[in-house]
Amino acid sequence: MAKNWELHHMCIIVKDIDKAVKYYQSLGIPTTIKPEHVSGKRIKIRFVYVNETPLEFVQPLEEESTFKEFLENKGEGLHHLCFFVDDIAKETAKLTKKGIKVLWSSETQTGFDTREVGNCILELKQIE
Amino acid sequence: MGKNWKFHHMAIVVRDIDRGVEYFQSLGVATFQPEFITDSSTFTDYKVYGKTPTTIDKTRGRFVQIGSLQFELLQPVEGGRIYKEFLKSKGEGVHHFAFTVDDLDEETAKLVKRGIPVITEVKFQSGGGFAYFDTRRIGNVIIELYMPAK
Repeated sequence: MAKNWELHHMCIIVKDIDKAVKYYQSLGIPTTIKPEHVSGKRIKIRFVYVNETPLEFVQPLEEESTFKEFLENKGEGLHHLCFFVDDIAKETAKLTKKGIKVLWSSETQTGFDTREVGNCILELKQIE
Repeated sequence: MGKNWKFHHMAIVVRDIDRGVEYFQSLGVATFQPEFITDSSTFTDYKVYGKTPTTIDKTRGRFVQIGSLQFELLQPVEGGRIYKEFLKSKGEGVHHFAFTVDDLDEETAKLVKRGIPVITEVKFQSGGGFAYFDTRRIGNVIIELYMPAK
């Protein structure tokens, strides 16, 4: 069971997910590669664990998305950090009260615009 | 497996560390360690792209903990070519992911053998050290290996 504010993953946007996986494998470092997930024509996802640290590689596909926009504007790079939380509604209320904007949200996940310093988006994920 | 290849921190290079700290404080989700300064004149060995720099590099740094993830805010204050180049080309942002290793020389040799360029190599007086590897080809992220003093 995850703890409150435990890191879930670090999301890195790449142009070609197969190349990304091959590259990380080629480094000869301790990696575990998880199966690919395809979300329609929007994105392809693959988790690569470096030892126990989860990197989420995302390759944007044809359909428009915040990921595709990021790749087009900034190129490959770290997109967001995702943390588990006990109560997403409560944490969301706290952050929005401090003036932090919500970039995306679903029932279980919310992305916050914390790019002001360090250019890093925070995503929160409800512990199930 | 000990602490070999254990995630240590994610570094963010900023123009103004005080502003960075203030911002993270304002989110109400972070805790902070005291500020530290790294000064290259105290290193026992220092190379940037294979050469010993003739000028001194000083960096202000601060570890910030959000949940289970440790961030390192870095602000170059003197010299600091590597960080300044980064700020110039990309602005503030995530500069590297750091992993602790048991034996820095051994892990460095392994990566070099696989053709990964070394950006920075540092040995501390205390016996530890760190190195930045140019793994930016995919995902634009530098990997740091860090060996704490024993």
